[in-house]
Amino acid sequence: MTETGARILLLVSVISPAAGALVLGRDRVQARQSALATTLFSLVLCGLVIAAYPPGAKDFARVELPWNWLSGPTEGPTSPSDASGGISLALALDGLSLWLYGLTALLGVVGVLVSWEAIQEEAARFYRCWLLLETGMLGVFLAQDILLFYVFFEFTLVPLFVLIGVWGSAQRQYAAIKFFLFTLAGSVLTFLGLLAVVLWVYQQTDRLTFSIPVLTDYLQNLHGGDRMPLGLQLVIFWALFAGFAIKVPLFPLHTWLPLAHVEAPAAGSVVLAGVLLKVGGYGFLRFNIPMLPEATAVSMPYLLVLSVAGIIYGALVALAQTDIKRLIAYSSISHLGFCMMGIFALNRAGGQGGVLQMLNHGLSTGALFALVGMMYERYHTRQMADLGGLARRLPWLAFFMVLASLASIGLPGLNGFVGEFLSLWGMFHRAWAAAPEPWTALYRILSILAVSGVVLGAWYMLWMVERVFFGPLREPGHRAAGEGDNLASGEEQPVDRPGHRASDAPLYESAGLEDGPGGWRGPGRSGGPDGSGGPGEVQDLCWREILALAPLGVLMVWIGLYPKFFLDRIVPTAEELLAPAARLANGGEGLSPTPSALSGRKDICRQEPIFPLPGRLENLSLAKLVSLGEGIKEDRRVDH
Amino acid sequence: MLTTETLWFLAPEVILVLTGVVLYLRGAFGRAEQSSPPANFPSDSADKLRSGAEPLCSSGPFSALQPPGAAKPFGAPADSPAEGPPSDLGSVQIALVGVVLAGWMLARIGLPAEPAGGLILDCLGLYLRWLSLAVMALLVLVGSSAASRHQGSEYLGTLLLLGAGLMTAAVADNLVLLFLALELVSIPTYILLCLGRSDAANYEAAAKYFFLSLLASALVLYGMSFLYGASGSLDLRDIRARLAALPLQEAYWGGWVKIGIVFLLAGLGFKIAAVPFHFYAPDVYQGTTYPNAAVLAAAPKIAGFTALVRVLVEAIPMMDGYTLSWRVVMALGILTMTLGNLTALWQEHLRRLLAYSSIGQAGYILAALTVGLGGADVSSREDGLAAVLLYLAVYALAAIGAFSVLEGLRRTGRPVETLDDLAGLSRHRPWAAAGLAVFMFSLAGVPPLAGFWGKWAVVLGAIKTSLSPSASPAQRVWFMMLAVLTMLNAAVAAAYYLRVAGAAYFRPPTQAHEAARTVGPWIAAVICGLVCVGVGLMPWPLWEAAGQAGEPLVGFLQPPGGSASKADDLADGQLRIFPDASAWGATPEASGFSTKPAASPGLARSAASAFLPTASAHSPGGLSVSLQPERN
Repeated sequence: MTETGARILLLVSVISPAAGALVLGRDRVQARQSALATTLFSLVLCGLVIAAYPPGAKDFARVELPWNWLSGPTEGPTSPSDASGGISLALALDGLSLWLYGLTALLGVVGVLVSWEAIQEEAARFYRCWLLLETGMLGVFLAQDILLFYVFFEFTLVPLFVLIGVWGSAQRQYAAIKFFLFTLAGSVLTFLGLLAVVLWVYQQTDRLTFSIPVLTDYLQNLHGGDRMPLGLQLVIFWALFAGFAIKVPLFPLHTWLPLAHVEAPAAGSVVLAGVLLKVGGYGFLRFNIPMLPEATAVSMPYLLVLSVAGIIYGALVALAQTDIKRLIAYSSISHLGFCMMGIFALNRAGGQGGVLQMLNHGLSTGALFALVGMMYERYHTRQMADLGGLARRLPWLAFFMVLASLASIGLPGLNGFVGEFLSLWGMFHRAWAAAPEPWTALYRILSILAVSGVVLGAWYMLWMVERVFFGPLREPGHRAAGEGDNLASGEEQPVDRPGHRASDAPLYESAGLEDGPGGWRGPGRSGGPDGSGGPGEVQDLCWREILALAPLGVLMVWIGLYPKFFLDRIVPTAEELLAPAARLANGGEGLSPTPSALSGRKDICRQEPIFPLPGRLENLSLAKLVSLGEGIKEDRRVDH
Repeated sequence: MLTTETLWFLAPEVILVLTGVVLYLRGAFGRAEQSSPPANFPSDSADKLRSGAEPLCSSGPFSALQPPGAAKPFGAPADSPAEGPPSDLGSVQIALVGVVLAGWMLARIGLPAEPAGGLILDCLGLYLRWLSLAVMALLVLVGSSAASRHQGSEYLGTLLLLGAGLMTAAVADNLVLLFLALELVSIPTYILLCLGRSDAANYEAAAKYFFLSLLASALVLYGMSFLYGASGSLDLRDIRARLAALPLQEAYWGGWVKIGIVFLLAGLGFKIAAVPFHFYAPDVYQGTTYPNAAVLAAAPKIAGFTALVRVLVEAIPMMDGYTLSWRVVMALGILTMTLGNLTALWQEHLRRLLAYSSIGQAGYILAALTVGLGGADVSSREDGLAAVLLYLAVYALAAIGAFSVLEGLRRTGRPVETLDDLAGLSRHRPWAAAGLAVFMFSLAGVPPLAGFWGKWAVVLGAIKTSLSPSASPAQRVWFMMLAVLTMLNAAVAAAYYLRVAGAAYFRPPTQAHEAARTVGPWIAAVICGLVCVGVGLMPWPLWEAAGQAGEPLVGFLQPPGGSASKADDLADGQLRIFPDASAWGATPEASGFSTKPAASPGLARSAASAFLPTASAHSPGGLSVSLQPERN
């Protein structure tokens, strides 16, 4: 396929969900069918674009709408280098956005399938929000213009706000508003930081441009000119940090996440974990690290501390959870800590590990949230204490749950392993081979602590699987009503939470939205609303649910067995984005590098020594893992 | 002074006044058969005050008393659900025809080449006149539901007089005319407030506004007298020239000018509801009706900022080292936005909430004005002033839109008053809920809606000054702080805007909402909503219009000794962010940064020139011929 074709497909794949939202059917069945068709259409286009992407391409399939937000219509598409300035509505792909773009389109379909029966109330509005959200998320990853990025970034908040607030569970309003305000509070500071970048370049060049590639090139000194002073870089870095770290979320800023996840409808959780949290990491890689390399190098130790703190903290809190969804939410914090640790290790292995881990987390955690949603549809509880031995009753659900859990733990052969391993490798390399002087001890301690996150991860996930899926069969329906009530309103639950059992169905059905858990009506429970349907009628996954989970499972195994296909496309871009900061971090000459060390970076960064790891890392596969030890040894030789 | 030759240039205002008179006559003679004779306000209220019952509202000094036997909750309308006589469509039509005629006249006048004595017919004036006229058309539509009550034609006629005041303020060239124009805005406002409803809360609101507004007018007049005393002239530009000619060592004009500025800021601060002078706003908004609240939210703010820009920029020379204006305005702005937004968080009553919201929004506009007065270089200041103009437009749009949606709603025959009244709106009236959400998100500055571009322009200007190499250290710190505070305020404000949107979308429905029987508010809401979204997606026409409107002030943004030509700024490397006439030219530096508009005579150009009919026909130099600051 030619690049022109890819351009058209790219544009259509972004616009089609929003267009689909406008022509959605009115009743539930029509709405979900057309939503499915729209998201599938978008996914197919997205797959074609990804297939056409040549590894290493930058600005692939760049489309620029023929008007400029500041000055009106322009003469047609321009290349990024001669972009005339102003705010251009440009979209393009590179190695960093490629997989996130694909992941978004995929989870768009998964979300519709997950909501197929679960959303009963006002389904047309649900799918309308869903499709708008998808356009927003696709746009975030593709935007080539700072302001366009910010617009999409903010735009994703509104539909998700409505999704959580209308179709969530008991505390949904509070969760929706907290989610919105937390994100907005961070993103306004990010906005200031981005504007400061634009205006600094404007002061230097008399050219007001918002184009991300142009600004990045300028700030990396590719065209000469002064470096941005370190003080200003640090101010801007931490302003950007505010928004992106809340989005990731990094450790002290994570408090909105568990609440939003627990209260969101299943599809909302899927997309929140799968895509929206990735915007944070994406922002760091797109803006902070390439645009402000000195500040990144200086801030690296603090960021690594926060990442590792998140790994440990998230894992420990997850261990203490009784609610499955909440457990997975905290595990997200831990896994994204790995992501950020890999990225901030500022070397090749860490960078690819971090980016790949973003994709992995989207797949496995997305699948886990979808599965929890399916369990909730069947049992109206997410409490581990209420459930047990489900593997016998629901073999398919158990199969996918075990698969996704193992993937998220990082079992070799599944995707989580590759991502976590590369991230850890990057961190270890940073700590033992390339640590700048005053930080060596800290880095080494951090790298060892991070490993404990893997162990803890296996602990809480496997424990959860063991309690819920194995052992004697235990289902909420087996209990006496009073007992079930006590359990259902156990700890961490709001007081007004209705007992989510089938026998309560008439209660919240008659009371409407305010009492019932959003639009949740259990279709899996085929018994009547009066509770006559016994637990024996709980059905295993139907074809639709299996269809929703299968692509995720296939990708988990694929990435686990043959990550090269994915890494090949990530590596060149990740390397280019990380190179300036990596060089500074490796430079070892104190923490305030002189501008002279930075000039002509583009030529230098192509040379191997900036990434002193063996160059073959992207070929990592199971077969190659055996020789990893040698690689590290060789690598240390190169370094000294 | 104003002469008969130049009176022609005031034709749009004259048309508005004449239409207003026609409406009054219609009210007096044409409607005799219609229902209840209009209540005689003074004696009526005096009766009520005499008749004495328990105090209704102790929040202000003018706590009114409720007529006995009418135990209604505070703020509830006294009108019966039947809303009196049917809609007075004729009056609405007459008013709209008047506005359209005025617009036609305004388009014909445009930017005249010959100087008009007593008036400033520059791009700024033209922009503000168009803005006022557009606001007036929307207010007539919103007020058309008030016209269905008794005294409809009087209400609309008064509204048109107010519009004439707004438009005159935009072109007033000397202090007397400016004061008269401001009064022509204030006095009709008193009448409108009295015509709103006939219950005690409304009369309390009207009385409160009346007395405080009188005080504010007196302060403005007092401040102007100091300016006159210090300079010996009433003409804005004359004042500037004379002040600039005074020896600087007189501690900036002996302090008299400073006192004048402070009094002016206090008086005008009342009109724009800036913080220490804002106390009336929540009570008045709550006590009156939605159409009146829309008037209060839009008209005095436009008038106040017009006067502020005219006086602070055109009459006060920006000598080097003169920092009083921007420091005071910055302090006002920060206080205003912070207090307004924080207080709004706790409000339950919708009009009260929107009153605090309008206070907060005034704070953002003051922040833009700060950049306009204290920016690091001429181009930054120009951008700041353009941001004031842009923000005024997008704010007025969203505020009027919000009030018109709420005016159009009824619940069991009563207007919606509190957040609880909105519960379930998205079920019963999905389009109304969507419209309300659009206006709330626009006010909150969520992209891609119009309000976002307003905030964007404000913050961009502040950061630009703070990063500018020619900024003093104090400017760097203060303007960065201003930008950060503005954005943090935007985040705080989002909380209460979300509460409104959330109430409409999330709260479980209790009673159904009906639509009001008049269609005017809905038309206004639809127009506002479409323009809000349209400007959000295609901001450039408004962006360019605001940029051009700031253009004629360039000569006033530097010490009077300096040159007023744009070419010098370009040579100094000072580039504007807003487009202006010279950026459209072939200057090589200019063509690099924004666009190549010379080659793209498409939508933007035509849209902008539709807005400013003759602007594009002017050469950059020709525009400033009549605007040289040293005229004498």
